Amino acid sequence: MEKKYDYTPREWIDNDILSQILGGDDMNGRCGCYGASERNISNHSDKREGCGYEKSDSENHHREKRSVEHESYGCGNSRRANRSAEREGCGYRNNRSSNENCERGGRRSSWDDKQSCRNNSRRYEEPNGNHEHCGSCANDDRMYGFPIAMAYVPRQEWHRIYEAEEALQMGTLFNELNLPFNHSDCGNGCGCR
Amino acid sequence: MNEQKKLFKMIQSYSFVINETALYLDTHPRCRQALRHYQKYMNLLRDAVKTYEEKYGQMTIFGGSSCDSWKWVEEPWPWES
Repeated sequence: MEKKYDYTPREWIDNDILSQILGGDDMNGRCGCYGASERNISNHSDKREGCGYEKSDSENHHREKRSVEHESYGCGNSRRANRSAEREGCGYRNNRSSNENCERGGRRSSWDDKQSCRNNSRRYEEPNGNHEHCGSCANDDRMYGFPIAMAYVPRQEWHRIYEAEEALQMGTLFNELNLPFNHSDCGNGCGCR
Repeated sequence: MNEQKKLFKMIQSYSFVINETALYLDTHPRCRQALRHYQKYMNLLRDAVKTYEEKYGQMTIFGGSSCDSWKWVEEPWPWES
């Protein structure tokens, strides 16, 4: 599928982007970037920040690929060693005045830098055209980067099938769909009001 | 549980499996596992219904053979003991 950075809701659904992202095996070394990233990590003159990239201490913004075990810079990664650390890049607030880095719903300085946000993250532009956003960032949310206010249904797969008699007893053929409701008891034996 | 009830319960569970599998196939029409599952249980269901009707009479109005009388109303219905 052609890589794009902005998908319509229809495209998200028709192209099954969710399962591509969740099923992607590019998480290692990608610092919270689900799915493949087209970043050119061999190009050290590339001054991009964001998922998959580390900002070095030098002013040169030398980029290196980070492994997922390390503290990630600028990544919407679930593995954040130190959330209080000042980070740069997508999903993190940059305390510096520089606008180079993406904060939560924040801004980037360069539109050319399309790959600095988490893969498939939508980009938003404020009506006045002054700011570019990397899209909303979430901590451990696998729905990161998906359009808001849309309902998503994860795709079911054929596994964990009950035998016939058990299926009838459980009310479903699929173990995954056996989701009993548990209510708390307020002491009256009938559940809470 | 007597044999008629056991057989009836088997037919109910096979029917349920087929219903569930059909719903799954509606959204996954080319899933081979589901298609195989469907075929398997359709065969099981046909055999079970055939056995039941031979021994205990019609299960539905569609199972009747041409006779002198309308056996459906003369014999116990499947849900009656």
